[in-house]
Amino acid sequence: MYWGAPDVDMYLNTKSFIWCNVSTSQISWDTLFKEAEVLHSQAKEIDIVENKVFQLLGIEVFNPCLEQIRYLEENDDLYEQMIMEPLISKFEGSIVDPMRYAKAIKNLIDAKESLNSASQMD
Amino acid sequence: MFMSLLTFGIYCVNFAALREATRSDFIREQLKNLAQSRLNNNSLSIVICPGDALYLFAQLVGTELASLMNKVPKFLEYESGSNMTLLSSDGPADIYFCEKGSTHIVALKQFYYKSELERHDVALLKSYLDADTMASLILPSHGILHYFDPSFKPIILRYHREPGRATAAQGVDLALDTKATLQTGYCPILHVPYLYPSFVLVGNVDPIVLTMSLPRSKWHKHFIGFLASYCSARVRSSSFRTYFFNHAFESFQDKSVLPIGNCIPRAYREKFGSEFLGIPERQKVTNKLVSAQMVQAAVKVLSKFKFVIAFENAQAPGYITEKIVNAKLSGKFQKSLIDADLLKIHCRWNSRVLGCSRR
Repeated sequence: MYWGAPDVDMYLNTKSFIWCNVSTSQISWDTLFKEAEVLHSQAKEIDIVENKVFQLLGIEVFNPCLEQIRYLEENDDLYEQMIMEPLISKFEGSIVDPMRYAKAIKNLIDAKESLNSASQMD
Repeated sequence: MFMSLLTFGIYCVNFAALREATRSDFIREQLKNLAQSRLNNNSLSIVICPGDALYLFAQLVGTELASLMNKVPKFLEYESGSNMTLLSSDGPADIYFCEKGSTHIVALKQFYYKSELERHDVALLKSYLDADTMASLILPSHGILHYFDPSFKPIILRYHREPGRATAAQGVDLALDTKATLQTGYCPILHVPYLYPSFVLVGNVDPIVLTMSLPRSKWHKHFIGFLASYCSARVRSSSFRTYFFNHAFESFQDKSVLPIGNCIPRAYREKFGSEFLGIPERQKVTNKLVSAQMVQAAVKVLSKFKFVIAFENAQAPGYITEKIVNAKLSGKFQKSLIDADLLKIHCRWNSRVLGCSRR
C-alpha cells in the first residue's frame, strides 16, 4: 500500500501496488504542529495531530484502500496478479536508469564549458 | 568540451627545476605543462563523499557519465578529515558527489595540488615568486607545498535525501533533490527519487525482475506490516501514516497488524504497549543510515507480511523513497526472472526464496 507522491503514477506502475491516493493538500501541517506544541502538556503531539487529521479528512478517506485490501485478501488470483506486476515496466529512461542522470550532468558540464569559452573570448 | 575546463586546472611546481630558476615565469611555464598533461588524461576522477545511498548511485551515474565522455571512471571515497582523496597524484578530482553536510567540507578545502617540496625550498621559493603567486600558495605544515589556481573549479554535485532542501544549496553546480517540483535555488536542480538506493543495492539488474510469482499467502505469518523508523508529528505529514495504521489496526482486529520499526502508533500502543514485538530484525531496520544492511533487514522482515504500509513521511511530487521498493523486494522471486547474482543476494536474505538451495 503506497501513499506519498501525488504523481507516483508518472514514475511507477500503479498496477503493482495499492495506491492510497489521498490528498492532504487541505491540511496546513505547520499550523497543526504549532497547535500541537501548545497542547503538548495534555497529550502527545502526534496524537493531537492525528486527531486534527481525522477532523479534517474524516476516516472515510481510507475506505477505498481498506476495501482493496479486503478484496485482494479474498481473491488470491488478483493478489498474485498485482504482486506479479513490475514496479517499473521499462528500465531505459526510467528513474532508476543511471544514464538519465548522467546525461543531465553531461549537459551541465557542456553548459559550463560554453560559458568558460565565452568568457575567454571576451 | 570538458577538457577545456581542465585547462584551468591545478598546476604544480617542478621543484627540481625551481632550484635553478631565477624567475617566477619559469614556474608558470611548468604549471602550463602540467595543465597540458591533464588534458591528455583519459580518466574521469570522481570523489564520493560518505553515504551508502549516494555512493552506489554515484558509482552507476559516474560510470555512465564517463562513458558519455569517452573516459574511464576513477572513483575515490572522500574520508572526512582527510585531504588524501582531494590530493590525488592527478590533482583534484573532476567531479565531487556529496550529500548535504559533506559539500561544505569539500568547498572549504579549496582544490590544490600536492608537490614534493621540502621545507627549505619554501624559503627559496619566496625569493623567486611575486606577491600574486605567493598569495595562491598554501605554505606547508608538513614539508609539502600546495599550489592552487583559484580559477579551477570541479563540478560539485550535492544530493539531498529529504524533499525540497535543494534551495539551500550554495557553492554547488547541481543539486540532486528527491522532490520533482523545481524550486528557485542557487543552482540547477535535478530530480533524483530517493528510492534509487534500494534498486542499486540489489545489483545491476533490470528492475523488471522486481516481480514476484508465488502466492504470498502461503508464506505469510502476519497480515499488515508497518515499518517506520520514527513517529513524529513535526516531521511533515508523518502523522498521516500513523493515522492510517490506527484505522487499519481497528478495521482488521482479527488479523495481525503490526508496527515493525521504532514507531509504535497509538492504536497498537494502547492495546499492547510499546514493548519490543519480538522481531529480531527490528534494530537493524530502524537504523537511520540507508545501508545495504538496512535494506536487507527491511526486506527480510517485510517478507513476513502479506501487505505492507509503504507510506512516505511527506506528500510531495516525485518524493518516492525506498519503502515501496523494499516492499516489492520482500516478495518471493521466480528463479527464471532473475539472474544468478541477484538470486544469490536474495538467498542470503531469505533462504525460502524459490531457487535457493536449502542448506
